[in-house]
Amino acid sequence: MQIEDLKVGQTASVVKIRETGTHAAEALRLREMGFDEGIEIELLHRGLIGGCPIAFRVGSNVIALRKVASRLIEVNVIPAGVQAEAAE
Amino acid sequence: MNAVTTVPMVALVGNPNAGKTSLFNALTGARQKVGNYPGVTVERKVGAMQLPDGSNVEIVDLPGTYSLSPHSPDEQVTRDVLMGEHGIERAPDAIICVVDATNLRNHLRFVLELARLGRPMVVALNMIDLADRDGTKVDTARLSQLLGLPVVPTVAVRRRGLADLGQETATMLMREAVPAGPGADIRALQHEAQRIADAVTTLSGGAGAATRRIDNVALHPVFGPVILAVLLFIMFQAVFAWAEAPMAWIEDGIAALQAIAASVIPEGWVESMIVDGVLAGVGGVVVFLPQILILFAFILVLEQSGYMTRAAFLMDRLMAYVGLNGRAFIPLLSSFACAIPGIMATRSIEDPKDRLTTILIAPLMTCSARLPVYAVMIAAFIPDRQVGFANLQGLVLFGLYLFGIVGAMVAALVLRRTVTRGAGSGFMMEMPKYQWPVVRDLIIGLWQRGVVFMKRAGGIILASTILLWAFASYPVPPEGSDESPIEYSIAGRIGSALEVVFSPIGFNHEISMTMLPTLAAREVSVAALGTIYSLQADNEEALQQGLVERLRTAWPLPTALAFLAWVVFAPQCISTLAVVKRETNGWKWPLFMFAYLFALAYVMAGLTYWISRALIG
Repeated sequence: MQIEDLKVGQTASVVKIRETGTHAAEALRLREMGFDEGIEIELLHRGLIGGCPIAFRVGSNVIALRKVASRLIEVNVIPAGVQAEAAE
Repeated sequence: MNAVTTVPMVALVGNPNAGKTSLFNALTGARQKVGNYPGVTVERKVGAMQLPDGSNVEIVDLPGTYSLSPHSPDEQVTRDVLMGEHGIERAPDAIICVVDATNLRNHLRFVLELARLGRPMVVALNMIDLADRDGTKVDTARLSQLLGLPVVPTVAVRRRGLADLGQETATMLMREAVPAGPGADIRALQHEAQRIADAVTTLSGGAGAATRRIDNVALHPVFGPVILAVLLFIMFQAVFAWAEAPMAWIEDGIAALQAIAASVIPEGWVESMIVDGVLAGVGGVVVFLPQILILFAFILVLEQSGYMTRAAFLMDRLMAYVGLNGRAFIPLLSSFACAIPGIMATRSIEDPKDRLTTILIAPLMTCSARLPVYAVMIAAFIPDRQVGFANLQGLVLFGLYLFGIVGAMVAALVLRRTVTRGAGSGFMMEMPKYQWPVVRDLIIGLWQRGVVFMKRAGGIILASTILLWAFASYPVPPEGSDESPIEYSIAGRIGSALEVVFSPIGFNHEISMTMLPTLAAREVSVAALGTIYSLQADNEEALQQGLVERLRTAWPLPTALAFLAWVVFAPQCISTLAVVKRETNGWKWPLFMFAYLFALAYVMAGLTYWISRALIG
């Protein structure tokens, strides 16, 4: 699924960053900002109009993106229970 | 090259938000110079740093970047200098890489990329106090061992760790660079950085909890925009209210100097040039300073505290409608005070095309210099009566502001599809942790902007004011001529010639005459009209009153409305063009700006004239 489908407060792990063709430069930028396969992200805030841009925690960083750019990132939701276990 | 006499050069690099500027300020103090790299609009900051043995090295603050793969002209400069491929800047003898201790994983990736260059390097583990506060322990010795580089913990804002940093830099300067290794895939670097960060940090407690709590309010769908609006309201109040007193002092001071000069220098052209040319010109420059400095103080505080990125976040969606970026919001807003600080503030916009578009539309925001003109025109031509619950004069003033904003938005849309076409880098930004602004950084930042304004804009404003003075004063009409001196002068003759251009849009002889002098500053058109109608008045208020009466009988309404439309869109003062020249590094864009604003204003004034004439009859 994609980041825009997450709800505020939900955590997810990055499965894949699409970096083919015209998206290569954007994908590289995403990696430089800290995105990486396996990293945990958490949706923190959404813009007032149309839920764009989106702000989320990436590791220990907070990043804001427009929806369009966020579609390059595929994520899997981490269910709340699993997260609590991992923390213990 | 003689290596013995050359001062060693150290490059300061780091990710944005690593605290690089603070460290640079702490290392160099006021001993820094700001300029531009030739051919690009990238700021070059260089300073002197003292080593423990008392010797000085040159330290260059390179633009912040996430990697050596450049996405913008700023990052290109950083990459070229570090690779030793920059034509003008020499290759650094050593590198200081600033790293945010609370964000190790991401920042170490850049350290690893830099390490492959083979240049002697020191890592400044900055903001170590914030890491402590978050409950993150970093094992510095182990980090140094894993990286194979010296690591010095620093707190730039409190000047901690600077001596150690100097010591390690001195040691590194004695080493020779080794050949660069092969570049690595970003994923490999990411994984190595992750491994090292995990090995040296022990995390306990929630990182950045304070920032999170603030953001829950500052980025809240309802409270967020309200807080932003309140902050902006305070900022505007400050710009107009606080600047009023110092601006009055400056005006009084200049007037006093003019009086002294007039009494000391014998009457003649020298006196006239000093009083009406030089002193009036200097006054015209300096009088802007209080507003500009207050505005910049607010902008610097917003930037340093980390709130600026939140404002950009809140405004991005609206700006996206016209092809701009959330970061364009503050510069455009500043332009309501004066386009000059607004255009200077566009430096925070990373993408060159977004930045250029923002610069080009900034003068359409109604600056404070247009207010006196609006005031006179509205008083003369708009009846003072109630329309529903609003006053008609107030409504017209509001409408003029609105026209400017709508014009700017339409201009942005069109420019984005034509001259500044192309995909922007979109909107992707890191939102740093909130921090208290540091007084030292604030003062240095303000000082640098003040100097840039005085040096770059001041020179051109001064020169053009003297030139315009000469145009408006010479040649002097012969004895007994019934022509007014301004009619007879070069400016008057050019104005008369311009009438051919402006009469189709309903402008009369008098308006054409003001065109040239008004280029010095918008508000000059009030004084110029006063001179042309040979009004004698002791003070500004009496002049405005006299002018209002005179215009009411002299100008038909369609002409007045067309002139108002002209002032909304017309190319602005020479100072604005001078700043655009500086910020875009050449005459191309200021000339383009002049041309497109002229065309826009001409068409809008023409439409206003012909439509209102058809309606009124």
